[in-house]
Amino acid sequence: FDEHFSYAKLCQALRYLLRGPDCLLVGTNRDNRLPLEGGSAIPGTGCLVKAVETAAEREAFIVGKPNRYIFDCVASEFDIDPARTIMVGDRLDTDILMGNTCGLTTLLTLTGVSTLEEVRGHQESDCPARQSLVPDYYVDSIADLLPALED
Amino acid sequence: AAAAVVGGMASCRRLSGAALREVLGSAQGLLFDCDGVLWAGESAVPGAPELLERLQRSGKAALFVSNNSRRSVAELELRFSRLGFRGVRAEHVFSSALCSALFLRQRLLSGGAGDGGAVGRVFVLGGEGLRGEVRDAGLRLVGEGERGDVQVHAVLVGYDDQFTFAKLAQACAYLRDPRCLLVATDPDPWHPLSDGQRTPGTGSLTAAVETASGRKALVVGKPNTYMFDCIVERFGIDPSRTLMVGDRLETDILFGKNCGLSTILTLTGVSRLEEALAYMASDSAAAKDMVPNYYVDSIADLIPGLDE
Repeated sequence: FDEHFSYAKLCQALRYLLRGPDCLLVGTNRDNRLPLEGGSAIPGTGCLVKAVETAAEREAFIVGKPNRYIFDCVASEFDIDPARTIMVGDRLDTDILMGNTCGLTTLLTLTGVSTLEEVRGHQESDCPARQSLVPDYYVDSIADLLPALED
Repeated sequence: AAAAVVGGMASCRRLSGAALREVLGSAQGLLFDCDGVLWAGESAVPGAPELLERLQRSGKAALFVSNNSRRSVAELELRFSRLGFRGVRAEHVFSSALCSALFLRQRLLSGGAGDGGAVGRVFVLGGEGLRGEVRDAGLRLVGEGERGDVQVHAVLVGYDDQFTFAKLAQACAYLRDPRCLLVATDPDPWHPLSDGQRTPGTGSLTAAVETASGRKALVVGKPNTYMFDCIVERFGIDPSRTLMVGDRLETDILFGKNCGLSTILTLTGVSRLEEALAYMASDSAAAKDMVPNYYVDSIADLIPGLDE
């Protein structure tokens, strides 16, 4: 994410990338929008990655969700068993998708970006790609998990 | 001309000799791309000014269609003159800057704006040349950092070497209103510089705006056909008697194909002959549309095709 992104920086990035494949192109994530309060949003890192990819005619390696690299980092560091791990997130196209593709149980919380209507839409779709966006469970907020932990 | 099309696909023949005389002989006019065809940076392609002069003497029309959205057509007229091309007037030059302004004027000022007659307000991501064309078309420019409740009717993305995150955010705020148009001057991802480097093009900035807004831009420039509509409206040319000459397969040659023009690739610019041949060998229909009918090393090679 770079709030000081500029044409000059884009130009310089292109210059380095044109030197050849030895110069890697890496993006932290593809989020297209970062929601603000009140329903507005600011452009996300995904926009900047797209600008560089378009100019360089190259695809970036994306580290963040929904790609699995970031999960692999966590899993190797902490010896995680996906079958006994729950991914909790608010975005279907990043959190839930990553959880599903990495074999985790997925839990959507409704305090953020994605809505239940979107989930229903994906559920009813014939498209397998959209089916991967459907969480195993949902809660209105993660506070709803507390009762399960009380003795 | 029939020999340069095989099974519906152009066959990328070198244009010379008898074929050259026949193709140029039957043409009423030629459309030229500018960068990489007539000039490279600040130097005219050797022989290019002479070609234009000979076309004039042969009574053949020469018109210019450029995706470059940096300059106004008035500035381009001066550039032609400065680089040694005689007799090219602004009215012969169709830049994506001019055509984007015409497009916006058509869409925003033809009485259907539904805004109580308010003049079309456009947020332009681009330089002074582009902004001037939009102003000359009778539209009003929205200032950078401008806030307020006044409706913005279009966001226009052009070549903007002053592009910033803040401008991207401002554009996206306007685009939340589905009535606000998103228009791009051209799709070019990059342009060559004279030192062999590349500079990012409008296409890369448009990709950022599209990603943030979740909208697809209406692209005015080549390979889309709107600029050809502008040319036909002003000069009424016959596509079957007009040749398109360009250096970029993905824009100029595809534009020619889309407009029903025979196409000539010149090798003084972006695309290499190997790329044209690769498209020819491809199975994809989209690739085949980017194969030129003919190619030349430089447009100076067209001169022998004209009568002495």
